Amino acid sequence: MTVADVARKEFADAVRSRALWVATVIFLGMIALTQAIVVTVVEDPDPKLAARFLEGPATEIVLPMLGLLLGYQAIVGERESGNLRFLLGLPHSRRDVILGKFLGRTAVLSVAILGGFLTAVGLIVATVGVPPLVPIAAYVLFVLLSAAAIVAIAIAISAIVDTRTRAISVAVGGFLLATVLWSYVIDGIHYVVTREFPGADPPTWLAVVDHLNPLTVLGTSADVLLPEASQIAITVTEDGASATQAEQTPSGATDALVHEPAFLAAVLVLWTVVPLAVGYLRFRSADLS
Amino acid sequence: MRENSYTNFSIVIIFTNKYYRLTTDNLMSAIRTNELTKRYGPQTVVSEIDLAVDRGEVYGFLGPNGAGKSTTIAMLLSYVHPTAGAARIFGKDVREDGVELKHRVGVLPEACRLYDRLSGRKHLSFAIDSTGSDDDPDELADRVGLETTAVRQPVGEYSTGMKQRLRLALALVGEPELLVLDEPSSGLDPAGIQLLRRLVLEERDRGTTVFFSSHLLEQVEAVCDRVGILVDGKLLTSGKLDELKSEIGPAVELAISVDATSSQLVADVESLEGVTACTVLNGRLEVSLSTDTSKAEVIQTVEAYTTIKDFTTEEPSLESLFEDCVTEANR
Repeated sequence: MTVADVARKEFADAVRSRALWVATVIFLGMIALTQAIVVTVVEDPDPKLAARFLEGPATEIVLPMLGLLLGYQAIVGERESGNLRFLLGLPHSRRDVILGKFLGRTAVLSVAILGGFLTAVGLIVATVGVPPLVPIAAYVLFVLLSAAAIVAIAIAISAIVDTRTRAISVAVGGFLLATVLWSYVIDGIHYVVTREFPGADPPTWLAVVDHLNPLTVLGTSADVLLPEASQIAITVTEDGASATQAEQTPSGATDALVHEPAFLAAVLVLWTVVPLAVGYLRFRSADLS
Repeated sequence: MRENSYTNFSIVIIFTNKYYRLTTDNLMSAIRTNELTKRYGPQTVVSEIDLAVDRGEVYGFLGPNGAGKSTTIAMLLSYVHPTAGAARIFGKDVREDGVELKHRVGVLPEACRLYDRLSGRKHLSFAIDSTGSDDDPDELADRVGLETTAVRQPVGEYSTGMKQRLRLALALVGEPELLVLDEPSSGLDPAGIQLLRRLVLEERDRGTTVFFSSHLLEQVEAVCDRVGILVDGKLLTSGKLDELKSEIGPAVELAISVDATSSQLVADVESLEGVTACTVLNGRLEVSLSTDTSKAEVIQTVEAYTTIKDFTTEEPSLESLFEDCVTEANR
């Protein structure tokens, strides 16, 4: 199986380049740091509350960054350097190269993610007790799906553009759009359609548009799957910090769709399959000169 | 009745004739291109090339740098897609059956970069896994003169020559039926070039077809059965080496310094078989021969008249042919 050969080589190369270790250390460091803060700062933390904080900067910021970094050079970098001429001189089709790179690099990110979550859960068990493991496992599955989607998007960028510089600008642009700019984009779309800004209870169509962003999907999957899926506020007073659960927003019929795990998973799978397909079609007809 | 059978007979002949031509074409042909063309915007890099490389031969693809050799090879390996025309290897379209063909073709592409962090051995194992062959990586490394300690080092620590040797070993993985080597001698030291020559001849003796490009003539001359000369994207000429040599004029030029000359001597020499011209220049006889077998006869004839002080022979080199082609194209 030639896809597996390419994937294995990619993984071996990532181990040698220390990309695997760097990714693992960054993700693990971030998720462990968050847990350390939760168990030390919050008074009487319980395992469920700690589990809720498995979602945090590690999954919201570090994960997409690592995914893009691992993937954005995969094709275009090797095209510019000439590595691709070696790979394609062997009996690998361009499709196998794209799929192999996708699998290899997703595997690297998955190792980092699993390492991070195992450490974080270990920390929770060691300090406050055993958290609900099944919901956590379900959430980790969604994190892995998101990782695959982000790597697929990065590989697609890498397969479509002609130069490394363009790849990095598109990747950075995409990252900013999906993170800091996204809420403005959603508000903007609502304004363009209805001539007013969305209120506290956005309409279903807007929620669906919001969930076209894989990072929104990942966030919602945490809300849905992790225990006490609602907003938590940490208040710091003179007496110390405490975490309280805010009033649960009534999830009306409008939000039912975007809270459906099947819907969330489908969006992530689409974000994996469509970019890979588009990237492949563009790459197939490209000249490697 | 008789007429009828006659007609049937001739139809059979026509059919078998066609069939025969088709099969020999497939059996004999390693590489065939049909008006292969590549344009980048307004610039034509490769222009309507008809290449024909037969199985089992060593074909030298010659041309100055920038002539379009690498682009042609890139199209054969489907790195680059032709603007027009088609390329076939072993009768199969390189774009449709590219992956299948790469099981049968060993390649050393131009500007092919290896993975600096992986060892030479890892590269070889990867190529062996990819082609599904059962080659021994250490044996391959040994064939190209890479030592066992070197082959376990990351490629980033290799010298240029070592990298090129590894690329050669990678091309040999899976006992390919055809080797496509783009400037294989680049980066090699004299010992490496010797090794390359030996490898090419070894492979040819094994029945492998070898197609390699070079801008250096002496390497092509040393090992090739046939050559094609590419200048400015056009295949100017191709053929057997000795045929190309005879195309450019006499096989041998003899320059004989003598004590004295006479018109009778010149006439006698000119009357010899194989002599195409004889002129006197500054007390020297310049004799052009169509074959080099009549050299001795010429010497004997001249000695009958006068004393030979010195003589030189000059065979036309591919170099002169090559230069002729280049100047012709630039005119």
